[in-house]
Amino acid sequence: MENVDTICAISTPPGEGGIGIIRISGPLAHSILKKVFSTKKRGNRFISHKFYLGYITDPATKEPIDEVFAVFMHSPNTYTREDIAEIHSHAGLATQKTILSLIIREGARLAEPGEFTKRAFLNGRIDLIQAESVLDIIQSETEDELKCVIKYLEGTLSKKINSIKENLKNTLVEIEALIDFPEEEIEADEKTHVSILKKTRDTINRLIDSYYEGRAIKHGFEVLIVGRANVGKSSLLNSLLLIEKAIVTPIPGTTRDMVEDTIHIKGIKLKIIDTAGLRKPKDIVEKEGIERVHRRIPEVDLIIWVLDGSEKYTDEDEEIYKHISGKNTVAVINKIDLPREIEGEKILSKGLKIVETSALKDIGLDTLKEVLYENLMGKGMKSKATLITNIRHRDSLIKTRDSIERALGCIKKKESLEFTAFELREALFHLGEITGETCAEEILNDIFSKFCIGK
Amino acid sequence: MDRFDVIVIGAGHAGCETALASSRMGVKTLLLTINLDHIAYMSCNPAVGGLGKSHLVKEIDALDGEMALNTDATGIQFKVLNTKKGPAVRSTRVQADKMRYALRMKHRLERQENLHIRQAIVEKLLVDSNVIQGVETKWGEKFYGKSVILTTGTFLRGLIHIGLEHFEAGRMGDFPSIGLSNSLKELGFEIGRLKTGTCPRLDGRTIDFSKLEPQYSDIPPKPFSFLTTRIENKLVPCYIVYTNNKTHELIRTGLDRSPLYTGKIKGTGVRYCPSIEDKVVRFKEKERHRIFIEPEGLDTLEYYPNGLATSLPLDIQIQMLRSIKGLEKVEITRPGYGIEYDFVFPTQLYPTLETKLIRNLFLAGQINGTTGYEEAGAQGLMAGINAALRLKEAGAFIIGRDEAYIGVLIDDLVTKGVDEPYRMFTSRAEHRLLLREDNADLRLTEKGYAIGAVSKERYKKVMEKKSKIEEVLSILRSIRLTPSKETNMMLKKFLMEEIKNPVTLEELLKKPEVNMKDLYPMAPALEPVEEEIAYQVELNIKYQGYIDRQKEMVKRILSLENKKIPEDFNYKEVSGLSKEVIEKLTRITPVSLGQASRISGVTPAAVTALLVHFKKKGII
Repeated sequence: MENVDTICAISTPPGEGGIGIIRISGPLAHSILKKVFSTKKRGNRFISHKFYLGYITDPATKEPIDEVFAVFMHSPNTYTREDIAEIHSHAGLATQKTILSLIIREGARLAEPGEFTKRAFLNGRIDLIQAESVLDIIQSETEDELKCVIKYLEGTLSKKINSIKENLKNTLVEIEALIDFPEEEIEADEKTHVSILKKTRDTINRLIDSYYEGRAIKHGFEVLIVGRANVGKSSLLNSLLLIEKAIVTPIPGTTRDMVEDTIHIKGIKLKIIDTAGLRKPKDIVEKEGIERVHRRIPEVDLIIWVLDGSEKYTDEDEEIYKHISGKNTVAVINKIDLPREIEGEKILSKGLKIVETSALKDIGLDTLKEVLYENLMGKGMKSKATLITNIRHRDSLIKTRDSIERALGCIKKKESLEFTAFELREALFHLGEITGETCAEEILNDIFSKFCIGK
Repeated sequence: MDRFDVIVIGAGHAGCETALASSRMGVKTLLLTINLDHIAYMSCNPAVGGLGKSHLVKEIDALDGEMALNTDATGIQFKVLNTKKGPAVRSTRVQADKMRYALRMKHRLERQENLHIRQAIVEKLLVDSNVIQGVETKWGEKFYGKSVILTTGTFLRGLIHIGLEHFEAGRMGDFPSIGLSNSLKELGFEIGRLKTGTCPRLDGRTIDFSKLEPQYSDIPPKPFSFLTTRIENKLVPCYIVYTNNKTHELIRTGLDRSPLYTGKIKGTGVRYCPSIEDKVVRFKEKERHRIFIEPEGLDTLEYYPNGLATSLPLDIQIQMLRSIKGLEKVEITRPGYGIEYDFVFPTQLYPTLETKLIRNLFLAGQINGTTGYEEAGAQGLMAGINAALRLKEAGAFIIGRDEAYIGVLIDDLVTKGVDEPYRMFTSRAEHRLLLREDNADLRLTEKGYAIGAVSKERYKKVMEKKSKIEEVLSILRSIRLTPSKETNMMLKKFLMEEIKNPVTLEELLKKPEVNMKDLYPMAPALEPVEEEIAYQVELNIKYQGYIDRQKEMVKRILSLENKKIPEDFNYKEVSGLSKEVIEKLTRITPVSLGQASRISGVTPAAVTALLVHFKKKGII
């Protein structure tokens, strides 16, 4: 592996965590570790996969920098399939950076983002799905997202995709056998082909559908807060965030542009967007702000429509409702700490779920969170199922499904078998964009193991 | 001491095509064979063609090879397989008269200008600084040639097994070639060992044909070659019989004396044409196996029981045969046998079939690990053409996977290598819908002519066909039917649906139920054309959707295929490649990224890494 250089990086996320891990991967991993790390017990080489307690010392000044654990892992049984050294330090970021610069001085270079995973992938250690998952795990923020990603790593998606591939392959094998061995007594049944293909198509469809849920888990939902001016939209956002993000004043029209932030409800990421109060604009800035809200309405996953419980239902409220009607909406009657004036039945009659809150007095916010969660995730979230969160996977699956549909069409129209085979090969090709290709040899192997062929 | 341009060793199905190709291209060629009476001898079943193989024969023909013409001249049963399926997987299979096939080919060689034929056993390759110089025979003769092409079939250290008996032979009745195999080893070639087998032959007088199910030739017989207009040979049937449980039991009693199951045979066998003992052991649940009783020729009463290849002891062979209905009193004229032989791992070859180790040494046919006359012939032709082009200092003739089965065959061999005898199937061709029997001439003849491998007469014939097809297609596109009463009455009369909007004849022909013939009464401007032209036209129109999609796929793949890798490229330069991948790429030395991507173990990620590296370095 002389052609590969040695890379290093702080592998734990920045912040004051318990342990910081510095990872070195490549041919120089061992020699660098030997230079910067000193320990009492040691021969000429570190024993692979064994932790040593010792000190990081600057080889130039002999100055000790930190007491650490270090481990050397001999290739190929490592994450990147290269030699890897890891230094586990308890110190803060500054010390870790010092150690890192020592390592770079000894001949490693700083890894690019995701480069360890890239090497693992290039060296055949993990497949593409796994590689993408690792990158996801590095970036994942919420609990459910993590679960989803871990499942990926365990290969539920790989398993599912492989079973789809098996089904397609088995059908193709029988069809190819019928094509290439017309004089053999091949037992293959069109009805079985159709039922397998239909079942496979349905499985793929479920996976495609899961993309929405998967994507939501990964990227979160967008929730837009709307309402006429000064009904307490910004206060609501602040209460949800528990920080003073939006500027709150009693002056209507304070929020002119959109303010947004992220909250997590039971591991689900919600991007909450506070908006300008929807009223007749008093100036250009406010006008633009209101227009932006209107443009945003069709794009979001959910709308929180805030009403002032201490005032009567107004024409302006009704005007706003016209803009959001038909969208997924939760109505919030705010300011319930004040004497009630609003006519609740006017909102009830619209068939909307209503939550009563007081953003100021922190009343009803937990209920609101509950309602938001249920609304977005549905009752009893299907998180036990395999989800796809990657648009590339979804696109490949859509193409695969379309090819299967065409193959079914060929069978239905009683077209000659090589056309069905053509479509199935294409289906496997698209599926291969996720898992890797199915080669002709694989098909032939299966033909021979399945059918007694040969004159 | 004689000097030649090209020396071909072996006059089997590969060697004949090789020698004919190079001498047709005007280079002085010598063909050496161990037995002059066994030129183009069918050591196994007396048939040419079948799925995938027939495509190769048509392609050999399109490039002016002899196999198709020889089969047409000596065929005694002609069949098109898969007639109920689409055009791409229809396939010709011809039973040939074994002796007439061999004799006609011999005579064809004898009449070939620039070609000299000699009987000799070649013992040694003469090499100087990794360039071939010639060969030396067992009797001490030396022949010097600028190129040497080995087409030695199963002869390299051939070892025949019948039961636990074994003896050295090239095939039953012929000397083996021992020295040559050692010569190759000494030169540094990596040699492997394969096994194949053949059936016992039967005395026709002892077969009760009244109990057999006959299988007749197609009438009229459809010729193999694009040049043959009619087949007027005498045609005879084949017959079908079945093994039964008794047969299988008998076979099982002989397994303890089977060289296959006692470990005597070390070579890897052919899965696609397994011995009967293999079939019985591997597929226990199958109650019967179908056997085709094929005539060996018109001048003999010997028959070939296709499906009964075996190396079981002779007493078991005769017992199992006699357990079959209709063969109760059968006599064996020659025993079935297994044969082990040396082959050269074909990843040691360039796509021209020249060896990477020794310049101007080419290998073709079974020596490269293939099985089958057709696979041999195709390689022989390509080796002969490329050897001749090298002498003329012209560029190599390499056919793509998207252009011909020949391309698939050779690319598979030199890229993926073989670990068992390689046989062609249509499923190996990813662009199957484009590579049809019926368009082999349209695909290849022009290309062959451009490099001087195809005669002017054939070229002209194909070009005429091509322009005729274009002409008819453009007429069909230009004639438009309007939905008048008369038109619709006509349509109805010919059992077609009425039309509501104007349609071109092309659009009409797209409908599955409409044929060219139906269009003639509709459009007087359309003159009736030959069946062959009509077939191509219909096919072009009816399957246009698929053909276009397949062509799209080819385009996608060609982009990698056209990215050439420099010959002496050092893969260690590329960061991110594993040791294993570097080792494979260095060994196989792919000519393009496309070929690299097909090497087993070279992952898509590795190909991407190569692509990125080449782009960065400005190589592609």
